[in-house]
Amino acid sequence: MKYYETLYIVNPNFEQDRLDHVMRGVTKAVEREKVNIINHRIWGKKRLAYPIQKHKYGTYILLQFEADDVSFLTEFDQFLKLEKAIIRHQTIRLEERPEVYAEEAAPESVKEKTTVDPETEETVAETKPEAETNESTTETAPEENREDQKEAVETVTEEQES
Amino acid sequence: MAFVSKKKFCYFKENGITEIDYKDVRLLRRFVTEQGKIMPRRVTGSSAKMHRKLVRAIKRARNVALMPYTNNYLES
Repeated sequence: MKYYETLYIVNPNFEQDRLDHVMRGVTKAVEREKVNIINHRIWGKKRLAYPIQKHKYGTYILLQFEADDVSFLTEFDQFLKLEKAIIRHQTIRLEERPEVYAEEAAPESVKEKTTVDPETEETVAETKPEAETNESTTETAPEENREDQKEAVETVTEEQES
Repeated sequence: MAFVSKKKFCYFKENGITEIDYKDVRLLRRFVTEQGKIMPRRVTGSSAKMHRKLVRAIKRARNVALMPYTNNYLES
Protein backbone atom coordinates (compact mmCIF):
# COMPACT_ATOMS: atom_id res chain seq x y z
CA MET A 1 0.00 0.00 0.00
CA LYS A 2 1.16 3.46 -0.82
CA TYR A 3 -0.26 6.53 0.79
CA TYR A 4 -1.03 9.74 -0.97
CA GLU A 5 -2.20 13.17 -0.03
CA THR A 6 -3.87 15.59 -2.38
CA LEU A 7 -4.38 19.17 -1.38
CA TYR A 8 -6.59 21.17 -3.70
CA ILE A 9 -7.88 24.70 -3.63
CA VAL A 10 -11.45 25.42 -4.61
CA ASN A 11 -12.86 28.72 -5.77
CA PRO A 12 -13.44 30.75 -2.57
CA ASN A 13 -16.82 32.01 -3.73
CA PHE A 14 -18.33 28.55 -3.54
CA GLU A 15 -20.77 28.03 -0.70
CA GLN A 16 -21.26 24.75 1.16
CA ASP A 17 -23.59 23.14 -1.39
CA ARG A 18 -21.29 23.59 -4.32
CA LEU A 19 -18.28 22.64 -2.20
CA ASP A 20 -19.97 19.38 -1.34
CA HIS A 21 -20.69 18.87 -5.01
CA VAL A 22 -17.02 19.37 -5.91
CA MET A 23 -15.90 17.06 -3.10
CA ARG A 24 -18.33 14.38 -4.25
CA GLY A 25 -16.95 14.69 -7.76
CA VAL A 26 -13.40 14.25 -6.47
CA THR A 27 -14.28 11.21 -4.39
CA LYS A 28 -15.96 9.73 -7.45
CA ALA A 29 -12.81 10.31 -9.47
CA VAL A 30 -10.64 8.62 -6.83
CA GLU A 31 -12.92 5.80 -5.79
CA ARG A 32 -12.22 2.49 -7.44
CA GLU A 33 -10.93 -0.92 -6.54
CA LYS A 34 -7.96 -1.07 -4.22
CA VAL A 35 -8.20 2.61 -3.41
CA ASN A 36 -9.24 3.52 0.08
CA ILE A 37 -9.99 7.09 1.13
CA ILE A 38 -8.68 7.81 4.63
CA ASN A 39 -9.48 11.50 5.00
CA HIS A 40 -11.39 13.96 2.90
CA ARG A 41 -12.09 17.19 4.66
CA ILE A 42 -12.25 20.93 4.26
CA TRP A 43 -9.13 22.44 5.76
CA GLY A 44 -10.52 25.94 5.67
CA LYS A 45 -10.68 29.14 3.73
CA LYS A 46 -7.25 30.73 3.69
CA ARG A 47 -5.59 33.74 2.21
CA LEU A 48 -3.39 32.74 -0.72
CA ALA A 49 0.28 33.73 -0.54
CA TYR A 50 -0.03 34.97 -4.10
CA PRO A 51 -3.06 35.46 -6.33
CA ILE A 52 -4.16 32.48 -8.43
CA GLN A 53 -6.51 33.24 -11.30
CA LYS A 54 -7.06 36.61 -9.61
CA HIS A 55 -8.36 34.94 -6.46
CA LYS A 56 -7.01 36.28 -3.18
CA TYR A 57 -8.53 33.56 -1.03
CA GLY A 58 -9.09 29.87 -1.51
CA THR A 59 -10.88 27.01 0.18
CA TYR A 60 -8.35 24.29 0.94
CA ILE A 61 -9.53 20.69 0.86
CA LEU A 62 -7.33 17.84 1.99
CA LEU A 63 -7.69 14.32 0.63
CA GLN A 64 -5.65 11.41 1.94
CA PHE A 65 -5.93 7.95 0.48
CA GLU A 66 -4.13 4.67 0.11
CA ALA A 67 -3.73 2.83 -3.16
CA ASP A 68 -2.14 -0.31 -4.50
CA ASP A 69 -2.41 0.44 -8.17
CA VAL A 70 -0.80 3.76 -9.02
CA SER A 71 -1.68 3.93 -12.71
CA PHE A 72 -4.84 5.95 -12.13
CA LEU A 73 -2.94 8.87 -10.58
CA THR A 74 -2.21 10.50 -13.94
CA GLU A 75 -5.87 10.19 -14.79
CA PHE A 76 -6.81 11.69 -11.44
CA ASP A 77 -4.37 14.53 -11.95
CA GLN A 78 -5.94 15.21 -15.32
CA PHE A 79 -9.38 15.28 -13.73
CA LEU A 80 -8.26 17.83 -11.13
CA LYS A 81 -6.71 19.93 -13.87
CA LEU A 82 -9.87 19.99 -15.92
CA GLU A 83 -12.22 20.68 -13.01
CA LYS A 84 -12.91 24.39 -13.29
CA ALA A 85 -13.85 24.83 -9.65
CA ILE A 86 -10.38 23.69 -8.56
CA ILE A 87 -7.81 26.43 -9.02
CA ARG A 88 -4.75 24.53 -7.76
CA HIS A 89 -3.93 20.99 -6.70
CA GLN A 90 -0.95 18.98 -5.55
CA THR A 91 -0.59 15.27 -4.87
CA ILE A 92 2.15 14.00 -2.62
CA ARG A 93 3.37 10.58 -1.60
CA LEU A 94 3.29 10.00 2.14
CA GLU A 95 5.83 7.82 3.88
CA GLU A 96 3.51 6.65 6.63
CA ARG A 97 -0.16 5.99 6.94
CA PRO A 98 -1.89 9.25 7.88
CA GLU A 99 -3.97 9.27 11.00
CA VAL A 100 -7.69 9.30 10.59
CA TYR A 101 -8.79 12.83 11.13
CA ALA A 102 -11.07 13.22 14.10
CA GLU A 103 -10.08 15.23 17.14
CA GLU A 104 -7.83 17.78 15.53
CA ALA A 105 -10.84 19.63 14.19
CA ALA A 106 -11.88 21.08 17.51
CA PRO A 107 -8.63 22.75 18.62
CA GLU A 108 -7.96 24.10 15.16
CA SER A 109 -11.36 25.71 14.89
CA VAL A 110 -10.95 27.11 18.39
CA LYS A 111 -7.62 28.58 17.43
CA GLU A 112 -9.13 30.19 14.39
CA LYS A 113 -11.93 31.58 16.45
CA THR A 114 -9.56 33.03 19.01
CA THR A 115 -7.51 34.62 16.29
CA VAL A 116 -10.62 36.08 14.75
CA ASP A 117 -12.02 37.40 18.02
CA PRO A 118 -9.38 40.07 18.68
CA GLU A 119 -9.91 41.43 15.21
CA THR A 120 -13.62 41.76 15.74
CA GLU A 121 -12.98 43.38 19.08
CA GLU A 122 -10.63 45.80 17.43
CA THR A 123 -13.17 46.68 14.81
CA VAL A 124 -15.73 47.24 17.53
CA ALA A 125 -13.28 49.43 19.38
CA GLU A 126 -12.55 51.34 16.23
CA THR A 127 -16.17 51.94 15.42
CA LYS A 128 -17.10 53.02 18.91
CA PRO A 129 -14.94 56.16 19.08
CA GLU A 130 -16.32 57.25 15.75
CA ALA A 131 -19.82 56.97 17.09
CA GLU A 132 -18.82 58.98 20.14
CA THR A 133 -17.28 61.73 18.07
CA ASN A 134 -20.48 61.90 16.08
CA GLU A 135 -22.39 62.29 19.30
CA SER A 136 -20.03 64.91 20.60
CA THR A 137 -20.69 67.12 17.60
CA THR A 138 -24.34 67.21 18.55
CA GLU A 139 -24.06 67.04 22.32
CA THR A 140 -21.50 68.76 24.48
CA ALA A 141 -22.24 66.98 27.73
CA PRO A 142 -20.64 63.59 26.95
CA GLU A 143 -17.43 65.31 25.96
CA GLU A 144 -17.10 66.96 29.34
CA ASN A 145 -17.76 63.65 31.00
CA ARG A 146 -15.03 62.05 29.02
CA GLU A 147 -12.62 64.80 29.91
CA ASP A 148 -13.44 64.26 33.54
CA GLN A 149 -12.79 60.60 33.12
CA LYS A 150 -9.47 61.30 31.47
CA GLU A 151 -8.44 63.56 34.32
CA ALA A 152 -9.49 60.91 36.79
CA VAL A 153 -7.40 58.33 35.00
CA GLU A 154 -4.43 60.66 34.95
CA THR A 155 -4.68 61.32 38.66
CA VAL A 156 -4.91 57.60 39.31
CA THR A 157 -1.78 56.92 37.30
CA GLU A 158 0.04 59.71 39.10
CA GLU A 159 -0.91 58.22 42.42
CA GLN A 160 0.37 54.87 41.32
CA GLU A 161 3.65 56.41 40.26
CA SER A 162 4.11 58.28 43.50
CA MET B 1 31.19 41.69 20.29
CA ALA B 2 30.66 41.86 16.61
CA PHE B 3 32.96 38.92 16.02
CA VAL B 4 31.47 36.62 18.61
CA SER B 5 29.40 34.20 16.61
CA LYS B 6 26.40 32.58 18.18
CA LYS B 7 26.61 28.84 18.58
CA LYS B 8 24.53 27.39 15.76
CA PHE B 9 22.34 24.38 16.27
CA CYS B 10 19.96 22.35 14.22
CA TYR B 11 16.49 23.50 15.19
CA PHE B 12 14.98 20.17 14.15
CA LYS B 13 17.45 18.08 16.11
CA GLU B 14 16.94 20.20 19.23
CA ASN B 15 13.20 19.72 19.01
CA GLY B 16 13.21 16.12 17.90
CA ILE B 17 11.56 16.80 14.55
CA THR B 18 12.25 14.13 11.94
CA GLU B 19 9.62 14.90 9.33
CA ILE B 20 8.56 18.31 8.07
CA ASP B 21 5.01 18.79 6.89
CA TYR B 22 4.55 21.34 4.12
CA LYS B 23 1.23 22.34 5.63
CA ASP B 24 2.91 23.55 8.82
CA VAL B 25 3.41 27.08 7.58
CA ARG B 26 4.14 28.51 11.01
CA LEU B 27 7.24 26.32 11.24
CA LEU B 28 8.38 26.96 7.66
CA ARG B 29 8.09 30.74 8.11
CA ARG B 30 11.06 30.67 10.45
CA PHE B 31 13.38 29.39 7.74
CA VAL B 32 12.50 31.92 5.10
CA THR B 33 13.65 35.51 4.75
CA GLU B 34 11.28 38.46 4.64
CA GLN B 35 11.35 38.26 0.87
CA GLY B 36 10.31 34.64 0.98
CA LYS B 37 13.72 33.22 0.14
CA ILE B 38 14.85 30.00 1.76
CA MET B 39 17.60 30.77 4.26
CA PRO B 40 20.91 29.01 3.68
CA ARG B 41 22.12 26.25 5.93
CA ARG B 42 25.00 28.38 7.12
CA VAL B 43 22.48 30.79 8.62
CA THR B 44 19.95 28.37 10.08
CA GLY B 45 22.52 25.83 11.22
CA SER B 46 20.27 22.92 10.37
CA SER B 47 21.73 19.57 9.42
CA ALA B 48 22.08 18.66 5.77
CA LYS B 49 19.45 15.96 6.02
CA MET B 50 16.86 18.20 7.61
CA HIS B 51 17.70 21.06 5.31
CA ARG B 52 16.85 18.91 2.30
CA LYS B 53 13.53 18.01 3.87
CA LEU B 54 12.92 21.64 4.76
CA VAL B 55 13.59 22.81 1.22
CA ARG B 56 11.21 20.21 -0.17
CA ALA B 57 8.50 21.24 2.29
CA ILE B 58 8.88 24.93 1.50
CA LYS B 59 8.71 24.31 -2.22
CA ARG B 60 5.60 22.21 -1.81
CA ALA B 61 4.01 24.91 0.30
CA ARG B 62 4.81 27.42 -2.42
CA ASN B 63 3.08 25.29 -5.03
CA VAL B 64 -0.24 25.49 -3.22
CA ALA B 65 0.07 29.16 -2.28
CA LEU B 66 0.62 28.50 1.41
CA MET B 67 3.92 30.38 1.14
CA PRO B 68 5.02 33.04 -1.31
CA TYR B 69 7.58 32.47 -4.04
CA THR B 70 8.52 36.09 -3.49
CA ASN B 71 7.21 38.95 -1.43
CA ASN B 72 8.49 41.61 -3.77
CA TYR B 73 5.10 42.41 -5.21
CA LEU B 74 4.02 43.74 -1.82
CA GLU B 75 6.58 46.52 -1.98
CA SER B 76 5.75 47.68 -5.48
